[in-house]
Amino acid sequence: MSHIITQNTLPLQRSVKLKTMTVTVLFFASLREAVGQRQLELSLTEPLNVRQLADRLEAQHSGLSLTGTLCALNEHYIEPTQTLSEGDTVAFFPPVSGG
Amino acid sequence: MSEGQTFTVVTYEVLELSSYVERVTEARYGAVATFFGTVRSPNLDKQVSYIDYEGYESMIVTQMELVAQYLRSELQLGHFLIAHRLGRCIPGEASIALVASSEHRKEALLACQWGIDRAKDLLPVWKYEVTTDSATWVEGSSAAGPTL
Repeated sequence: MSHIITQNTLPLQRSVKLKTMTVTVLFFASLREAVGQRQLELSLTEPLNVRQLADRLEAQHSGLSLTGTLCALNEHYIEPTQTLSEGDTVAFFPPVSGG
Repeated sequence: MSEGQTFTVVTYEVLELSSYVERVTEARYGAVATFFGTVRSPNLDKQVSYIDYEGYESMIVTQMELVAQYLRSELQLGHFLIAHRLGRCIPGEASIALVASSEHRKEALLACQWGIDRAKDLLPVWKYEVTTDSATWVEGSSAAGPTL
């Protein structure tokens, strides 16, 4: 009687795929000009907060500096330490000058 | 007595100021106050050709509603309307309007004063000012929240 035992000797494959999260990122005014577009869709494979997202965006877009900018999460001003969730919309923009 | 209504307007068209005044006017409110912000020229000694207003439209509405909630929490208001124009405006044209009604004058006047101050801090709008010899993003306010 033969047994297939080789499977048990292999390292266990991860049966669960890494969960990705999609967020929308918006840029306005001089930041939109620096990035070259108003909207990006990003897939994240790890939880990030807004500041970490900003660091990543600066690394990806030469000429983009987010220092001193305001940030909004789902149309509300927030602390940059706020963690992102699936489907969130994050906006980065310079100080506002409406009116 | 039913409560006063709040109206928000974000448009790329000319602001319809007289219709806004009509919208908030009602017999039971004996006061109507308005504030209209217009494009100024000269500005800082330069002749302004036009201003292009860029905005995050849906967030402007969200923040306008917060401005209205704040005013209603502090003042006994009737109807309140706040409008911001986006796109190109020439000197003399209105870019923002606040119109408030209340039973007596003080609340409507204060709603305009406090409302415009708060709107200038909160509304995600940016001015790109073009003069006869320059074109620049106008320096803004970061009073709305923490910056990076």
